[in-house]
Formats: sequence, C-alpha cells, structure tokens
Amino acid sequence: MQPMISAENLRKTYGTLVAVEGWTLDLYPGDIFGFIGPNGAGKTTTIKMLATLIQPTSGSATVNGIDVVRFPREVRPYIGYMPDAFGVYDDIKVWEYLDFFCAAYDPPKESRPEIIERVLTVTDLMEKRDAYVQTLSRGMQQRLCLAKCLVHDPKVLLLDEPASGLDPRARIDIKKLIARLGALGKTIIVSSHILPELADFCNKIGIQERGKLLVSGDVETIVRQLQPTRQLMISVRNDDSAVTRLLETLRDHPLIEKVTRDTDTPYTVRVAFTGNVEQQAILLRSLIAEEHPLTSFAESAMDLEDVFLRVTTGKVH
Amino acid sequence: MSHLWRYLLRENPMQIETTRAIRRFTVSGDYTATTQRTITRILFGLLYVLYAWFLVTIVMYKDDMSQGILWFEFGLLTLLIPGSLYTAISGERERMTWDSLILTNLSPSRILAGKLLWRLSLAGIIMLIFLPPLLLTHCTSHYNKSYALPALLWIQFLLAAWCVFLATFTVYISANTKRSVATLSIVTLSLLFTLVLLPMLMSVFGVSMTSDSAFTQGYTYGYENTRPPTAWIVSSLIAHLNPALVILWMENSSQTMISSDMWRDSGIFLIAPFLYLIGAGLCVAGTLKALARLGMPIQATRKEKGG
Repeated sequence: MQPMISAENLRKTYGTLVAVEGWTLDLYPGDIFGFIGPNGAGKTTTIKMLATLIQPTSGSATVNGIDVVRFPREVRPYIGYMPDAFGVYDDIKVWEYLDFFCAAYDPPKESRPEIIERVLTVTDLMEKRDAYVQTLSRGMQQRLCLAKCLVHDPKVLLLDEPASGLDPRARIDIKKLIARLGALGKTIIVSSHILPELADFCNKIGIQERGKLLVSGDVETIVRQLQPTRQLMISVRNDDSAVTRLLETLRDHPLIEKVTRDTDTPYTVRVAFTGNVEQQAILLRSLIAEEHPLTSFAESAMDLEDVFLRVTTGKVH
Repeated sequence: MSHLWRYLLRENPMQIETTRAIRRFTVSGDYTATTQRTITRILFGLLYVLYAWFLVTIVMYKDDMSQGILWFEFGLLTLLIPGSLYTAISGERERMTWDSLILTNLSPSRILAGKLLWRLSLAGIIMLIFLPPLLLTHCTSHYNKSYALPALLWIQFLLAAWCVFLATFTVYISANTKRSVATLSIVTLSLLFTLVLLPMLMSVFGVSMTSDSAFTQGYTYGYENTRPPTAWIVSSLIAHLNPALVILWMENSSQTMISSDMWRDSGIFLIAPFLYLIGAGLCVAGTLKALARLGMPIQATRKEKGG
C-alpha cells in the first residue's frame, strides 16, 4: 500500500539554526499520528513543510505520492491544514465563511449547500450556522477552522496544536472530533506539547526534540522498544517479613531479570519480568500456592509520559 | 469574455469581500466594535452634511463651483482608495488568513479581482454621487462657466483612471510588503511626493513667485530658450500628470493658460488618464507576479513563532 504521507530526511535550516533534521516517516490512510514535542522542537516547521507552505532545505516529502516541493499546487487539494494561530474573516456568518472556502475549491455549485451541512454536522456547529464568525468563542472558532479544512474532503489533515487555548470541555470535544475524522479514513497529523491530549486517540506517535524525530511508530511498539521487559508491581500485606520472603522467592525465578523494593509504594515489589502473559499467570499461581499474602499483582504499563521522559533530554533550540 | 466575467467577477468566491464591506459600511453586521460603528456613522454623517451644503450653496448662489467639487471629489477618492486597500494582501498575512487562502484553488487573478472589485465600485458610486451637483452647478451658473461640458466629462474619465491606478498601485505595494503600516506609509509618501512635494519644488525653483497663482505657472520657466536638463523634464512631466493640476488646467483657457509652459502648451496632460491606465496595467502585472510568488512554498530564512 502506498503511504499517504511519506517524508525522507526532511531538513530545514534557518541560517545556522537547524529547525528540522533527518525527518523520515511513512503514514498510511487511517493513521492518526500524534506529534509530540516541547515548544521549539520544530513541529510547526515540519507541518508547514508538509502543507507546502515552507520549502525544505533538503530531503523530500510526498502526499498521496505527489512531491510537496515540486508540485505544491497539485498537493494542496489533498490537504486540510489547521495552523496553530489562525485568523478568521469578520462580518460574515459561519455558513458564508464555509461557503467561501468551499467555493474556493471549485466544487459544483449545486453541491455546496450539502457540503456545508455535512461539515457543520461533523463539527457540531449546526446551531451556529447563522452566527457571525467574530461572535464565536475560541473553541467554536477552532471547530470552524477545522470545518473549513474539511470542505474539500481532504485525505490528509495537518492539525497544528488544535486544542491550544481551549478549556477542558472544548479540548475533549476537539479530541472526539479528531478521533471521528480518523475513523473516516483520513490520515491525520496532530501536534501537541500536551501528552494526555494525544494518548487516547492516536495510533502512532512521534516524539520530536530539537528538530529530530527521536522515536516514531505505534505506541505499543515504542513502549516495547524502550521497555523490553514487563514491569510487574506485586504488593503484600503490611508486613516487612512478607516483603522479604517475596523478594527471596522472586530473585530465584528464571524469568525475572530484576527485583527491587518499590520506594514509592509501601510493601510493594517491582519486578522486571521477561516472560509472556501466560508465564505471568503461572507466576501469580505459584506465588499464591506458596501462600504469599498478596494484596495486588498488576502489570505497570509504560505510558506516553514515561516514553516522553525516557527519550527526551529537555533541551530546546 | 463572458467566461472571464464569470470567472473573475460573478462567480468569484472573493466576492465575499464585497459582502463584508457592505456590512461594515452599512453597519448591518453583528458589530461588537461600537467605536468603529460610531466612527463610521460620524464619517457618513459628515459626508451627508457636506453634500447637502454643496447642493444648497449651488442653488442659492448660482455660482460655478465645479472646480471646488472636482477637487473635493479627487481628494476624497485619493484618500479613500489607499485607505480601503492598504490591508488588501499584507493585512491577510497579518491576520494569518493568507495561508488558508493560498491553500485553496483561488488563482492570483481571482484574489486580485476580489480585492479591487468593491473598492472600485465604491469609487464609481462616489463619482456618480458627485455628478448631479457638478451638472447642476454647471447648468445654473450665472457667470462664466469654469469648464465646457465635454471637459467636465473628460475630467470624470481622468478621475476614474486615477482611481484604477491608485487602487492597483496600493495593492501592488500591499502584495510586496509584510506589514500594512508599511504599505500605508509607502503609498502615502509616494502620493505626498508626486501630488504635493514635487509640484511645490517645481514651483519654487521654476516659477516667478510674483504671480497671483504661482502654483499654476509654467514649470519650464527659465528654460524657454534653452533645452532644460533631463531631470527637470521628467520632474516637470510628472508634475503635469498630477490630476489636481490637470483639473486646473482643463479650466477654460482664457483664465489660466500661460504660454511659457511647454508641457501644458503641448497638451500632454490630456494623455494623463491613458498613462494612469498603463501604470495600472503594470501594477496589475506586478501584483499577479507577487501573488504567484506568495502562493509558493516560501524559502523562509527566519524562524517564525511556533514549535
């Protein structure tokens, strides 16, 4: 299958400053790529290069197989781009604003009302149809901007910090909306510097720092790369002798790489387990059979935040 | 031709600019900016009062006020057109709407046509509004008439051509500057130089100041018998294309014509509107080129705000 977005060694420099370097990635239809990085990591520059707004210094990128540098005008119909900071035209109504952008993509005139109804429905703006654009709240304007990106039914959505400046309710709404668009088969790149925003609905992530894409791929694979063993947290009854006995038992286990007493949680042992889920179940059964006073036995999965902290250094340009 | 009309005007999505302008000027939109609404209303009120004053004065005194009206009309158009167009392209970039615009299928010619349409329509409406008092003062005047009727109509053509030039020039500058304030400054300074400063300098250095109308005297004074320097010729020519002075020189010749001015004697100012239109054509070509360039991926050399 041909990737919908493909970038190879994309690089952008501003004088001596290297904003983006060695950016390589393939995304396929339906992928929602969470693009994470601190402010100044080069996320906006990367997205703008893919959106045909900035010319890369070197490297290549294609959208739907078309070169973004050589054929920007041909690429644009496939792209819906939502900038992190955007303006809207005042003195026009919401439907007029959408009709303007719809007409600007030259669809048949008769189909425009239907398209506008559709994007208003998808973005939950139907009740604001006749409101003036300047009277909308920030969250509504974000949704309107997203609606504008959808009028030509693009295959690719490039969303740069779509939830920035929104209140928690509006953030949840926009997250749901992006997930819904992903389900429609669109390839989406969504950038953010707030990790929980992306964890829920992205099937792939990329972490960028100082212009370099440090890791990319699906969340599970990245976690496996960074943490090849399963982290088990095993707690026993409030008794030091029980903890000591548990540590001795686990140290002798052939599938356990490392055992340490957890400093944060009392009477709990942290285990680096190299076995699979079935072997994990066998371990639990054996501990119960040996009458360890277990109160909990759980796998501690590495989350996006842990991944981020593990791969980044915290340095910015 | 009909395709071009449909493409650039009737079915041009940029017509939305006209809708926005009508709402702004008629204050029919959902305005939250009360200051802007108040200023708009005061300005329109003043214009209504001034217009009424013109009509009343014409009818009461039966004097030929056509020159005053023409100068007022010229001044109003010269202020209004750059004032309404200086944000045309640079404003889009400042408002951060430009990126969205260029990612669509809109061609530079459609963007330009949309930007110019309502401003030039407004100029046309203003000229139409001024036509009745002009004809009224011309017809009711008891004394010598300042202009022959064909001259009055020709000046209308001159003003229309001037508006087209000024509009395209302002958009050209707007497409080539990043900030609207820079556009406004460049256009204002250019106008001040060509319309005021240059004629003043020419007047000071080339005209006998003893005349009761020094500003209107020949700019080739002192060079009647020798060939003037090239810079002098060019400056003199530019000064003679000044619409305000052309309006003056079109006045009945018995009153102001002075034989010492070679440009005026040659009647070169009669081609002024055609030169404005040629200038407008060049500005349109330059703007289309600039818009095409702005529509391509930029080779940014400085990092913008953002990650």
